[in-house]
Amino acid sequence: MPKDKVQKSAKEIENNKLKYFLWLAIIIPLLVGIIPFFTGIGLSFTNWKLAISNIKFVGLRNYIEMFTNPDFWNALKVTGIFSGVSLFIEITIGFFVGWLFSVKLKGISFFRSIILIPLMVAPVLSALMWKLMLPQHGVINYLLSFLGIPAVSWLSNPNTALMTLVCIDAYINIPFVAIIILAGFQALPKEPYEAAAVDGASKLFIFKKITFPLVTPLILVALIFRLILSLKTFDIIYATTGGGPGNVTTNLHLLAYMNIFKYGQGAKATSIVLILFIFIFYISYKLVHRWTKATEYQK
Amino acid sequence: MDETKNIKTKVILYILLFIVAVVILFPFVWIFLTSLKTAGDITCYPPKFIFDASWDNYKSLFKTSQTGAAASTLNFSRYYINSLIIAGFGTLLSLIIGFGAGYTLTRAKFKKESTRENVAFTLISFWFGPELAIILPLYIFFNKLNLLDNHLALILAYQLIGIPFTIWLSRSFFSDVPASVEESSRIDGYTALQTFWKITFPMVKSGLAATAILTFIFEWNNFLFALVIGGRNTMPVTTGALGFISYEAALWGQMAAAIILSSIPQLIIAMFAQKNMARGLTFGAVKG
Repeated sequence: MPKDKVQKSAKEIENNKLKYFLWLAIIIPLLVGIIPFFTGIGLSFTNWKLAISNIKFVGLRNYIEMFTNPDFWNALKVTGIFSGVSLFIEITIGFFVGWLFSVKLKGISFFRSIILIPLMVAPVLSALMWKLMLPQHGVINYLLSFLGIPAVSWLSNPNTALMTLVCIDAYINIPFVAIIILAGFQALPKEPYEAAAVDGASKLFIFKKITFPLVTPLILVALIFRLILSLKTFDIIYATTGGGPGNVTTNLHLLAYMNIFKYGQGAKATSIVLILFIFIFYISYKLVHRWTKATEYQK
Repeated sequence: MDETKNIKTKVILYILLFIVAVVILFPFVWIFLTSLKTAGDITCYPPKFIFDASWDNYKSLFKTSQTGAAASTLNFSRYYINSLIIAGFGTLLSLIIGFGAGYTLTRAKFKKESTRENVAFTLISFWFGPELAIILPLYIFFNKLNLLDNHLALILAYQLIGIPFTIWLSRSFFSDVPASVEESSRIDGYTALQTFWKITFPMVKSGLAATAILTFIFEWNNFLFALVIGGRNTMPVTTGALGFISYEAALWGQMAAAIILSSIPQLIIAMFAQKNMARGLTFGAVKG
């Protein structure tokens, strides 16, 4: 018995030593993350501006002004359209590309390493690459001219700017969806397919009743990640259009940035970004819930 | 799957794969060509596919005394060194803390079992919340403390990217090691530290390497943190690259060269983490 006791206390000491790491992992994010976050909540109820030094409590004024400001509603619309369209494109094409890269062919691993490239390069650099190719007299318009498409200044034309950004986002993130779907196809169990083959099931039946349900949780993972990250898109818009022309590509995240660093309205910026935060938090909560449900039957 | 047997479907599949590969690679090839062109060749239309290549754009990135309107404020080698310092030391710090905390969250006993997930989820929310919700107030703090445009301040802020990621991903790999394996090694007389190095570590080595690589890539690629709390002295390549096109000048060729040079480190090291990519990019949610 005494020996047992000694061992136990030794284990406890190790346990406590390990927790030092956890404390470090908590303290740094606490200092540079959690405290600023709650300070931000507080600031959103003040009149904080970059230019003034005495900060006063103003209650809900920033929020009321925000909800009555057409710029906010425009940014909300831009955020919604951008996320909706890019998600639709990325999930559908990403699913197809993921399936395509799962086929067993000679040299497939070469293609699989190419698909990672857009994911590894900084989004802001990818966006700048497209910016260099997209002007009126750029190479993209040159290539499109062979298809009979007239030259457009894609990023500075109000009619095309937002959809061009969606395409740049798709270039970067279709590979993200694809490698998740690819992982799903690679992990498919053999048994249901063998059973279906014995029963002589049709290919369409196999896809609908076996493959698709097995891959659904992965589609949901891709969807959760992409939705959350696309709602707060910033880099690629800032680097290409800067929110313009006018405000046709200004989403909520960019609107918050411009409020503080263009107009000096710190408190207004924090209130916008907090609304975006709540929005994202709510949606991801719902989706994660749905995902846990979809994976439950596999356990 | 059986559809690959047929020659005709094989050809179609190869064509499709080839198209995807071309679409992915075209921007890189084109930007590389652009980086070898003179200013005159870049703007000419129709675009030139054949031209006199020169490395002048690359050379001018590293010249100390640059000429031209915007050139005096651009210092690419400085940006590059800044990126190496911030992402390099940032990653190191993230790994030391993140691996330790990831292992703790996997193995340590907690008084309340819910602590484990609560800590993990609080940390991960930094990734999913809009960054400005944190950086704007942080901007005031750093401004008050005179820490704007400071390498150490940026390294600390980058931990918001690094620590949650390393914790989550390393935790996913650590939990692949059955607790019973560690326990039986303890019974054999190994200390906890010996168990970790001799039993656990070899089993998770490649996973941790992938975690390290991806952490570095994420920190190297970060833009918004550096944009807000960085400055002239700490500017990394991601914010620095924007400066090549400004009101004063459009240095397209130099920007192309800067993009190519800034992308090379990630692309090279990413090749070593290929196997764990799907798992890495989803914080361990997908095991593939």
